[in-house]
Amino acid sequence: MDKLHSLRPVLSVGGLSVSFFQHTVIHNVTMDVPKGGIAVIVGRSGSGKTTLLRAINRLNEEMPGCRTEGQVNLLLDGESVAVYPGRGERSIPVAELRRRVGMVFQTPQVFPVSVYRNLAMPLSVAMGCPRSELDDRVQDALRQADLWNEVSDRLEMPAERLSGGQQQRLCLARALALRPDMLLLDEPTASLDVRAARHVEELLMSLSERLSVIMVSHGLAQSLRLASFLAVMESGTLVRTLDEVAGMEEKDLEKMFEGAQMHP
Amino acid sequence: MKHSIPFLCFRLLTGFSAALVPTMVCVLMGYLLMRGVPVMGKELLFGSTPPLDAVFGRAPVWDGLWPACVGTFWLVVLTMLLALFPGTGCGIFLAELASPLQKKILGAAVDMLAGMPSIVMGLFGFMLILLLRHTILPDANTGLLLAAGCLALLVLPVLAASTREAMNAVPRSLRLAAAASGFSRSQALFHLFLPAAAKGILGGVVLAVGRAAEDTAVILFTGVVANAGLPAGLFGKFEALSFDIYYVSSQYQNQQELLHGFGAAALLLGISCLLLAIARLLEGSFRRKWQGKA
Ligand SMILES: Nc1ncnc2c1ncn2[C@@H]1O[C@H](COP(=O)(O)OP(=O)(O)O)[C@@H](O)[C@H]1O
Ligand SMILES: [Mg+2]
Repeated sequence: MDKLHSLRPVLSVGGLSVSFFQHTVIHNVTMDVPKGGIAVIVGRSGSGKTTLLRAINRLNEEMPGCRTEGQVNLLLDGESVAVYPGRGERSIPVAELRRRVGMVFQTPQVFPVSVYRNLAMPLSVAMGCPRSELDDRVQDALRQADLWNEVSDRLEMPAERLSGGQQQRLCLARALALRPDMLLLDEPTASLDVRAARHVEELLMSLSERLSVIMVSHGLAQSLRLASFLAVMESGTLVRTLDEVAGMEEKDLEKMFEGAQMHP
Repeated sequence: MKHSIPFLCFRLLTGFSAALVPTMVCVLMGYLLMRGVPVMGKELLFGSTPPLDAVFGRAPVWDGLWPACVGTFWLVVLTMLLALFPGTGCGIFLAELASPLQKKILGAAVDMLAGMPSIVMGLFGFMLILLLRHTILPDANTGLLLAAGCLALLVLPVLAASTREAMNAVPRSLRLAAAASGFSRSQALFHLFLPAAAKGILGGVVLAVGRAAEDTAVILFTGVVANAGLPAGLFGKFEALSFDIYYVSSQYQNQQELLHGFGAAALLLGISCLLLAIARLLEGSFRRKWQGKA
């Protein structure tokens, strides 16, 4: 890959504002997320992290009263794609966008069907994947999410019976099965115990070598462990971005929060 | 911890109310079965006609309940065939697709229809036949199809309302997760939301079946008679258990006939249970197919 190419940001947000029923939740956010590693968005609860993340795959539109302004550009498969295209720009169908940008939620959102169907249904219904390929792709995705060994003999079991950590990895597998170019993760370990959380973290680290990962985190320690790029949100605005967190400690980050509060 | 007196009273009252329902169910069912089961048998169903001849319609049944059973069965099945799709369709539209204004107007219409007394629905069917006779169809007469149509109108709001509630109960988080997986709205509706709401919709079907099986007022005006034999077709007169019960209890001349009424009531209960079991089996097999591998 040439130098110029690798310098292009995987995610570039310009003047993004999101409001629900005239109440502005995200104010004029502008940032470029470089390629490689995990980009982490931190901030207090209610600071608009989830909304910012959902602006990337247009999921805010599923909520009533939403209005989005500004630009979001993604680098998908080496090609720049405008999520909110202006006049004359090439647009991408929203279903395709969401397939190519997988998402995992704060609490595991498994579909109320079997483990197998959880992965096979989006593949066959949303993507039109031929039946003959389903088994291979399901198995492949479950392996990537390090879940295959645990569920290979229980594929017919209702997914709701898996443990919380397994459910979250199933959701990860469901996103991976669609072979996305980018993963969006909204506090993926918030509802898990420490061991399950570490397991997911390790998975994300290894996945980030192959695809772009953008993650909202609730913990400073976790952010420092995982982030290669850090964005700090406060009351709907972006207060800081950091391209380097090596050597930083939690208290340095905390200071940044306090600083943001002093100068709103 | 010490509870206050009002709280204790409240506890007592709610406990009493909770116990009241199962008690009444047991008393009712017990009484019905106690009186109905002893008369149950070949005699009650087929009178003096050989059962096989009666079942295959080779010989008429004079003083048995078999024709009424068949009549009620077909009445309910026809009603559900007519009402199931429009009812659930209306509910889905209300929950998923309607604009706020449409929700208001359509919702009001559904509520109004739900509040309509069944006797009015029967009268409506009767007037329809009169109208047809005076205009395009001089030979039009009341019959099974008309009765099922009017009953369908009666259960339509039940189905629509319960479908709407079941769809509204599909959690927002599931909707978001489906959208995030790249499902279009209609794909998500057919493959995820509808199956997830199937149990609630079945609840509405149960109510509708019960309502169609027990209603007497509608069929009174639309083609039920006391002695029609097996239904002669979609446009023929028919017998029905609910009407038989009503008829017997108002006209009985001896204890034996009254007992027939109890037998009919127990049979009606049985037929309702049978139809519900069929509905539940269908839902169960559908659910397994949806949740399973294939
Ligand atoms: N669908 C919505 N409708 C109205 N307000 C919303 C909606 N989603 C989020 N908000 C508001 O936006 C703000 C930020 O929410 P969110 O993005 O979930 O924050 P975070 O993820 O950082 O906790 C909150 O004040 C919340 O009330
Ligand atoms: Mg959040």
